[in-house]
Amino acid sequence: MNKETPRVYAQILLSLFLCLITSPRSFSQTEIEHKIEIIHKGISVTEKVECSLIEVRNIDNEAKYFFMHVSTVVCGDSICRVDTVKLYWDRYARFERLVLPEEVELEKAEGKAFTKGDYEKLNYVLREKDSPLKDLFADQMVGTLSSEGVDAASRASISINKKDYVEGAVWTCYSLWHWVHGDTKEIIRDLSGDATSSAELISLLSSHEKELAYYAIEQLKRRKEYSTEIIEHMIGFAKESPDLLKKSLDYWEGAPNSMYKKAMRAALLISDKGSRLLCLRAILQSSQTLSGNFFLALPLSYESMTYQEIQLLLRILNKYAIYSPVLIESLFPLLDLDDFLIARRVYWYLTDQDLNLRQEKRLATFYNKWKKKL
Amino acid sequence: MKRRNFFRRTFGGVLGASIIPLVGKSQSLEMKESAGRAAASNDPEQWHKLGTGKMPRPDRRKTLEYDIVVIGGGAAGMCAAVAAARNGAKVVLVQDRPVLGGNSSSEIRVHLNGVNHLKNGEPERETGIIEEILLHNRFCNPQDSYPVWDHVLYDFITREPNLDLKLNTTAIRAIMDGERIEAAYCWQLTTETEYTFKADCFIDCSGDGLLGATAGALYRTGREASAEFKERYAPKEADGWQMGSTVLLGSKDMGRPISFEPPHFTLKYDADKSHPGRKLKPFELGFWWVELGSEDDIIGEFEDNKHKLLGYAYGVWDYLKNSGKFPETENYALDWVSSLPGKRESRRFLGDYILCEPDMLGYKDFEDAVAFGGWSLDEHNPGGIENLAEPPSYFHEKFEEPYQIPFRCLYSKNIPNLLFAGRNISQTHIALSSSRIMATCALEGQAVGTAAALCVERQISPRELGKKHIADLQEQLLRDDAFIPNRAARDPKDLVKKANLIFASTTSSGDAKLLTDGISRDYHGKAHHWKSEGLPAEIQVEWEDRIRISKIEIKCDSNVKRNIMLRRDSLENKAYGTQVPPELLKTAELEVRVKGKWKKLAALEYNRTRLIKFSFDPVETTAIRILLLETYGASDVKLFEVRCYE
Repeated sequence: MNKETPRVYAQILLSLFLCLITSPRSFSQTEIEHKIEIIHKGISVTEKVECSLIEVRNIDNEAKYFFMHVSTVVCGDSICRVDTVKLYWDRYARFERLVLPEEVELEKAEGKAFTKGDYEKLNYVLREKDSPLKDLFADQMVGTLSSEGVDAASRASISINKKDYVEGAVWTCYSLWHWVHGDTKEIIRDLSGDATSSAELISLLSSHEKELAYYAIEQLKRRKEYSTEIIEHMIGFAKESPDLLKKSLDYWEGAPNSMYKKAMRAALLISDKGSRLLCLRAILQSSQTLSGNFFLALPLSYESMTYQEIQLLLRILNKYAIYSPVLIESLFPLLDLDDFLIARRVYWYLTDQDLNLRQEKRLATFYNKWKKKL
Repeated sequence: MKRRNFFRRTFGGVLGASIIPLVGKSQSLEMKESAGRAAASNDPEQWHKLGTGKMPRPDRRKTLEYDIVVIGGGAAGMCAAVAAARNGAKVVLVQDRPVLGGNSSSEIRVHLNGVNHLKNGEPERETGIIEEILLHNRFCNPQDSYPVWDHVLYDFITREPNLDLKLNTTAIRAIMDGERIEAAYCWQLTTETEYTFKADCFIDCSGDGLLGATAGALYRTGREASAEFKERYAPKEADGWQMGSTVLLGSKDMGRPISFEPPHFTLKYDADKSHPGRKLKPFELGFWWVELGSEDDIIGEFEDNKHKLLGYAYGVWDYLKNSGKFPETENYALDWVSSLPGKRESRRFLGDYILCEPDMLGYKDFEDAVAFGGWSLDEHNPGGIENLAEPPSYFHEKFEEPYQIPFRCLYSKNIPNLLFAGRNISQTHIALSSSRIMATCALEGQAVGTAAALCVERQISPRELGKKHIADLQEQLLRDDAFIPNRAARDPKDLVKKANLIFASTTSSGDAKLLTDGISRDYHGKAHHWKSEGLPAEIQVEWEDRIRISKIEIKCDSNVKRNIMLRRDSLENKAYGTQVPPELLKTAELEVRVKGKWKKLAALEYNRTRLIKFSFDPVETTAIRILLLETYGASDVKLFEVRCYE
């Protein structure tokens, strides 16, 4: 055995290992073909296109990744050569990579091959979820300024910044971007969600990656799964981010009433003012039913709430026709706040309630003092 | 002797760029009337009106009185007239063509360009009355028809209260009272009527500026020497060159081969000698570079030039169709050729300030700024199509941001009640190469119309307005949604500025507090908006003290980063659109709180403007609420300003 032999064996082992983990025909994975129909903005905004999406599952029957063969150019000026490439997404529909057929290089304008830099740029473009390519229709991509009127230089112009596409390959970028970020993503997420256990979805709620937490909420909502455990996990991460809280509020709206109340009570306890506002707004717009006892049980410190929060609270009480003498009595101290806007707002609310004599007198005092500002 | 040669031999013809008052002031009103009487028919039976009897030929003369007379119904004149009428003046708009629109009308079909794209490629679109007009077109003319555009403008102008329109009416001369214009003497071609329009104030937006010229207003033509204003792109020595006019054409695919026989006046187009800047493709919508100017009397030479321009336009088409080099034109035929060349330059009046290239490229801040521009310094070559070796335009430089236009450029130095807007304002030739663009002219028009109304109301001259009350003019313009770069509104009468609290139901970007910061667009990379998260959304304003209001005005989003003008090619991309902006607010409601109860005050449906005004009987309140219900497509609503007035 010479010195080179271990290296050669290592290389062989490495190759075998790579084949095992990437080969679609690996004995540890199964491929499932899904015939899907999607809208690709570059092809048609009304007619769906039929595609074949391949789901690859592991030995535990969990979705691992997805891939699809697509054309590199579906619209445009018919100048660039059209190739078929493979796009890969992970189970959360995050774009992973583009794979070219063997000995094929992508082509750009004037028949030039993509350079290394072009591939890197393409990789960057395809990973940009919020690319300007998203909102453009195919006929908006290129304008001709030559007919600008009486005065203009004559030239075709690309209507997005150079940093957002590979020069000479705008149609390739546009076509591939919409394959990557179009309808296919939602389909992948739902397919993947179907093959994911509740336990795993719940564990994703605590993920440091917001995207995975969003995915979990989305799938739990779609599956209509609600539990106290889920509430606790969601509250945990909702404290970190208003965006996560918003998604959670949307999810809880579909919950059974008792779950909804538990969730909202927990959410309102988040001391952040912005979060409280979000929760109160959600309650105001909610189609769930709430009683006076729910609000009485809330450990809210009215004195520390902003005008907007107080207003929302009072609107909620009106909306649910909540009449609670205890609640009403708890609002009276707000008439003495330095913040006159809040005091006045509470005054107007209280004038519409059934009050006892003492409370009526209190309101009359307020009126006499502030009538010019009421 | 041909007209052009005649002027070369006169004193006026010898000078280069010069100040030439028109020789001979206008007649007094009495002299004009006596001359008119002499022209009347003396024969009582000249006209045999069958079925009725015999009568003299009618002597059609009318004298009408207004507060303000606006001459010229292009973009500048229309905006001047509407601005003046809306600010309380009684106005007549006099237009010498059968249609409104000037260079943008169906007769000429130049695109109503403005700050279409700065150096960064983005528009900084004009708002105010010109935007209202363009939005009106988007609603009423989705088919992008030019003849329909003419009537969109007709609709827009004739529906305006306090504004009379006289088409086919030419202002022939000013009738003077000392230094002041007393009246404009006009001839309406179609009705054989002599009109004498008397007014306090006159605005010349006619481009060529005949009213101003016959009033004796000082003006220039030609190119200044670079040393005069330190203009890098001006010639070393002053000369008479004025940018030319253009004849545009349009063609369509007939679906089968169509031959073309050039008319006798066709002039051969020597493509081989032509600078490559004269692009022949795309060919369907004409060639802006079919242009002829003058180094002498461009107005006097107009008809001769027009004849030649038609020859050149047909010559280019002949080259495309019959040279054998463009087989793709085989099925194409001309379906429109302009009979009225679109003008770019002639007289430039002198104001108290002459706007110049360094002002523009240096982005000078003027205390009396009232408008802005930003099209590139687009100076066309002397000679136009008769100087084939030179590029058709130099496109000297693009702008990083818009430049300001000061009020002092918009009124006459020596005629105290004359204002102007458009290509005839007080500026150098190089400055004109950028500001001549129609939307920029429109902003000037709105400025002078507003100014004229203020002058009439206060019985002062434009100069006095500029010196002592410029802030009032600027505040009114800003309130009317004209944008003045680097000038925030600070109207002391706006009660929202005194509010104790302003907040929104949801916010996805910006802040409700920015709705009172006085800047009604995002600018210089800074947000000046509030944007909701979803719809419906609410804005609420609270005052500690009770206030009395009768007006609420809001400025919603119309996406000033996208052009919406009518185009012959109906261009649709990120920078140009043919639809109603989806961002535009469509439906809203207004509530006020009275004694603790919200009371609906107004409802808005099918809104069509960026500036939305609510007027109602005065009400005392401590809070207002604006319910924003729907846009024309966007899922969120964006506002830039909320104002309240007593």
